Amino acid sequence: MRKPSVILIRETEEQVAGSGCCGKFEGDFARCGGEWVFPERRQIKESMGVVARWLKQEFGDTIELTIVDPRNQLYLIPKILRDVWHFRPPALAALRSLSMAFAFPAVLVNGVVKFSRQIPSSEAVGQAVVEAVPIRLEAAAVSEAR
Amino acid sequence: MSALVLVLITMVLLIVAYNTYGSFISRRLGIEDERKTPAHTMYDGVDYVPAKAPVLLGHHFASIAGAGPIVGPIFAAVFGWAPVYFWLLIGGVFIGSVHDLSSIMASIRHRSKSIGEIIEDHIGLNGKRLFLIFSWSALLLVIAVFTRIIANTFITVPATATASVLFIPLAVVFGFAIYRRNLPLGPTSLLGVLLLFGCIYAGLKFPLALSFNTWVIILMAYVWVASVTPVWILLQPRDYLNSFLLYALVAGGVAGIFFANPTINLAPLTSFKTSIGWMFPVLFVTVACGAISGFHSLVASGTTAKQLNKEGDAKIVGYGGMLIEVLLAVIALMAAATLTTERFQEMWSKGLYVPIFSEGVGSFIAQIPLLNIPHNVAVTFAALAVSAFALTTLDTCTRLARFSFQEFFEIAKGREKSVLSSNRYIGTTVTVAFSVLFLLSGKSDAIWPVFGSANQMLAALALLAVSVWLAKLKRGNLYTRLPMFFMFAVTLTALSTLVYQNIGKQNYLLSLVASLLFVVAILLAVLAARSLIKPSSALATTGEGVLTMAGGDEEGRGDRRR
Repeated sequence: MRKPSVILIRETEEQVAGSGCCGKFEGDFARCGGEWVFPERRQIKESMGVVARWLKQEFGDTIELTIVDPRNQLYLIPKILRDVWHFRPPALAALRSLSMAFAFPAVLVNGVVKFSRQIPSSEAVGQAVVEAVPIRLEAAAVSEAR
Repeated sequence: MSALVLVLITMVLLIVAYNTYGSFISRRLGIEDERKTPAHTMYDGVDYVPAKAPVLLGHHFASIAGAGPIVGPIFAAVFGWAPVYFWLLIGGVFIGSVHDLSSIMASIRHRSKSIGEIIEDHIGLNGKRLFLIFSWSALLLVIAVFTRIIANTFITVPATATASVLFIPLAVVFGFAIYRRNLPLGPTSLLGVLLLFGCIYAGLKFPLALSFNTWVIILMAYVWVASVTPVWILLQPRDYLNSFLLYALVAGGVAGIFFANPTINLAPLTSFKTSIGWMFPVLFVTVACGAISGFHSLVASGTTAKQLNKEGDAKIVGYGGMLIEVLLAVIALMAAATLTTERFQEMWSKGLYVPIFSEGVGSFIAQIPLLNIPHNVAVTFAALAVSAFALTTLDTCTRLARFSFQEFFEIAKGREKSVLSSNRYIGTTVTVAFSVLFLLSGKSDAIWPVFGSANQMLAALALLAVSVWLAKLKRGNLYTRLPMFFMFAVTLTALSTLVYQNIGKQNYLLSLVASLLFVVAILLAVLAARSLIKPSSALATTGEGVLTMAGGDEEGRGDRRR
């Protein structure tokens, strides 16, 4: 059985395309003078990091967790296509995912947009995973007990 | 000769190189899939996140591709297409890809520290000061040369000028929609791309024809404003639109060359000595990004090293990513090579490097069946894409130069804030003013080689760091040492000849900056080599090839820096 697929979409605090190798805000230059060049993106990335850590701790290798920058379209678009193909969500949900009709940060579970333009709580994402595929029921029970 | 055949031969050779020399280098570097990468040992879900190889490859390629691998080969094609082609192929396979792959490996064995951090840790504040002077000077050259290139493009293809001018407010509106109104990504992007083509249409209808000096004033005013403006207003949203342009350009170029099957008309070899100097060393510093680029080490050892799922993935991301860039550079070269020698020489002598590319690639794209894109639209699109990258380079480098300027004075004052270190307007104004001086001191053909030398010097320094690391592990390092010596020889020869050449042409400022870069590069190399080789250095080697720094444990967690 295919593992449930969770995609966390958030921007990284760096410049991606256009400047090539003539200097860009990435790697050594993501911070200048000790400060982040993209502080808001950094904050969102750290908040999504909390969700990622929780998911890893709760579900371990039983889910396929992907964290991706929305500008990495070479990977993101085929990945969403694959998830929709494999998990066959309802038509409207599939259309929403495929047309990327969501704002980031966003969370997709099994090809369905579960959270858009918000950083959800870890438990909410965990619940969405459990609802999508009834795996790790004990983990869900633990979450509920909390 | 058919350009398509040459591209196909290139693809085959690159695949063979990847599976032979790439595998050989991977073995020599001791890549082991069993060894856990920092993405696992230091997992935090933020910076240290294991990512699949395709995720990283997509990110890495978008990061290293831009105007550099396009402009460089066209600039150097004045020697003829053959020397450029062979340098791209040989340099890319034996130097550039090895540089990128070994930078990633050195970084992950240093707990994903960047090459810059590794060097900075060991050469101290003096090294940092020198590095800031070095990078500030190099960035001024980038600003000067790209301003000239863009101004020349706008004069030659006025439709691109209108399209590029409209592209800026489009990016601002797009940014407001995405970042402030949180509108859905897909539909907004689609609308953005449609409006992008609207910009091209408007450009063709209402071409903006201004003089060179007027464009220089406008561009300088633009970079001044853009580099002090909050990043979400222009820089971030343009990133999205740029990524669409990049993918469309690469896909269009590759598909176009297949359908058009153009003939190479440019002479394979024109001369060993041209107006920009002797083939050695000029060819090797002007074609940087497509063959080897020092900036790749800063990118490779940043995000990529922190997200590598397993060591084996370093080969596809580092070695493979660079080979794809070689292919992009070969396509750029083919765009120039399909012009006749006379036409090429005529455009080249006027500094029309982007129009050379757009004319070539535009004619490829126009021949893709079913799309039926008119030739003038395809040419304007290609020119707009490269101009957009060049404009991005311009304001990014102005901001980076301003940061370097501020940081230099912060260090000079013992990390105390002063007006020079904290006032963004002073740093920006000084940067723009010096860039204008450089710009006025010489044509693009005089500035580009000096900038290229600075870029390649970074590569030599990164190869030095990797070679010392391998030597400390008692591993053979001939495959990094030879490229390192070659790159030092190339850049130091280039800088010294450029000093002499520019004095002869009365470009005293360029001569001065070439001298400065030469001296600073030597000092940096000596400092880096001394501190890295010194046995008492904080750098120590443990078994299994893991380098630990003072304050770090064997897993390298003690000195974690983000």
